[in-house]
Amino acid sequence: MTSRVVFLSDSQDRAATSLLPWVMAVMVYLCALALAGSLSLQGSLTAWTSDLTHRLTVQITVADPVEREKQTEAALSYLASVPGLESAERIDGDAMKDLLAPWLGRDNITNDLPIPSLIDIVVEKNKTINLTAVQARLRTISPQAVLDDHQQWLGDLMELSVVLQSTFWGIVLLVVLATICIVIFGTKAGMAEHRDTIEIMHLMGAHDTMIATEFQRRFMHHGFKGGLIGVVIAAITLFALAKLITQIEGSVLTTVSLSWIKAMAILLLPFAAAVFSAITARWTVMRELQRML
Amino acid sequence: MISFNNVGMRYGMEAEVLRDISFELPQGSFHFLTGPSGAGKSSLLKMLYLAHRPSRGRLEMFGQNVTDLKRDDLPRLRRRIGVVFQEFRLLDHLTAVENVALPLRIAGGSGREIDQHVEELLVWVGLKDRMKSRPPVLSGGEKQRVAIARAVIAKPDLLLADEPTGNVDPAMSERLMHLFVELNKLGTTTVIATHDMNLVRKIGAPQLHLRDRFVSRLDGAGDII
Ligand SMILES: Nc1ncnc2c1ncn2[C@@H]1O[C@H](COP(=O)(O)OP(=O)(O)OP(=O)(O)O)[C@@H](O)[C@H]1O
Ligand SMILES: [Mg+2]
Repeated sequence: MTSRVVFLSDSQDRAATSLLPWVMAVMVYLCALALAGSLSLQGSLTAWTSDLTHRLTVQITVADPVEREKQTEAALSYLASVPGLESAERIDGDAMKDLLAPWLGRDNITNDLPIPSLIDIVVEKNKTINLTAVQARLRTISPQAVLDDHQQWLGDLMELSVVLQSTFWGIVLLVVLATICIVIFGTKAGMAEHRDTIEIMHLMGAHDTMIATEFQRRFMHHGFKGGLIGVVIAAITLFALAKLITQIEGSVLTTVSLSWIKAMAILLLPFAAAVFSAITARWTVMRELQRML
Repeated sequence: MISFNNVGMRYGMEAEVLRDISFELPQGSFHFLTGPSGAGKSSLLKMLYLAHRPSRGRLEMFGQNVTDLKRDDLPRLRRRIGVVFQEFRLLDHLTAVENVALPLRIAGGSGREIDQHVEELLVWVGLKDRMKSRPPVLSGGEKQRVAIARAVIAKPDLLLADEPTGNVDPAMSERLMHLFVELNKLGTTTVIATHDMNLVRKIGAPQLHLRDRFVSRLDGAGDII
């Protein structure tokens, strides 16, 4: 047991340690943004994949509208007989026009423009479909039919997400390491500032742990204060970003969101900063004191 | 209690400031440490309050060889030693009361009892109205009295005082000396470095006289024993 003896003044801090909460704030801010990025990406990916994995699209590209119509109908009636499908619906002309309008301009989409017909298939939840069999059968109905299970796109997306995730976690790791270094420097500077006080405490019989506890308390305080400032600014930034994203309607970004539980994890950052600072400061003081008489 | 045997001491790589020091102080003894400025009085005390180790020879305190002490042994021994530093070394941001209470708190004491005890002592040394003042606003003599109170508060087994009356008037200095004498009567081994020969004569205690880096013993009247 170490009794706590307050012997360091809080107003005595000079530049070295008084700047610490602010550096801490920057670190926690960066950490919060990276974490938010990583966590929200995780959420939206599961949303996308679960959405897309039970969705298939059949594309029938035949230039002749009459033939296209015939093959589409045949494909639809075949698909209606396949077990495990929740629905197979044709994306009608207006919906197709809506899809194409941003690229071609609504006026350029004339009725004689050869647009492939699309069939949107929703697979029943927890059912798997033999894609090769369905694909083969569709080919006999329409030689140009393409069954797209979005695997290619999903694969690319996954790859991108892995890269993004590692980047975010890399940032978190670097920030944590930088923070530890800063706390070590700060502790050493603080010890230099209070060198005389430490020596007097030693001469009066104070144990290293007593001195370390006092530094630990201060740095925990600095860490928490900085963490709080950082997380508040990060919250403002994230809210602003979220608002911007919801304004970009129809974009895939709309699924980017943070659940409350994940947001809470970010709100825990000041506590993490406090604990990190405290442990690092204690360790540094104990190590430095070993070198003093 | 304390025994020096051919002890030498140096700062860093410089020449020895003390050499071949040999003497013994029995438990409960009272000695003045005298000698011209620069003779090494403060340096000798530094070894006694375990801030500096002898560079050679054998120094025994509390039945232990100082050179053999490990870092972890130091706090326990230091708590048995009260020190009045020549330059006081009070903590500037703590009040007089807090400064004096520090040794008791370090030893694990707490609460109202400490404060009461500390306040009584501060009244005794004439600092009734300065209890809540911090060292930067205290006069030299006032700081000195706070430092003395801090050194004696825990009733140490060994009291070391370096020029403890250099900044107070003769009446106060006699009063403070009696504090040391009273503490000594309770069993505290006492060593007081001073230039004040009047005081030495008045108290009549034996001297350890440092000159030319050697120590000689003198009795209360100034004769070599
Ligand atoms: N920290 C130090 N580093 C190097 N040399 C020192 C140090 N402290 C003291 N000295 C030297 O050691 C010698 C003895 O000094 P010390 O302070 O022990 O003398 P003193 O007897 O206490 O003098 P005074 O009566 O003036 O207080 C002096 O020559 C001084 O220059
Ligand atoms: Mg001196």
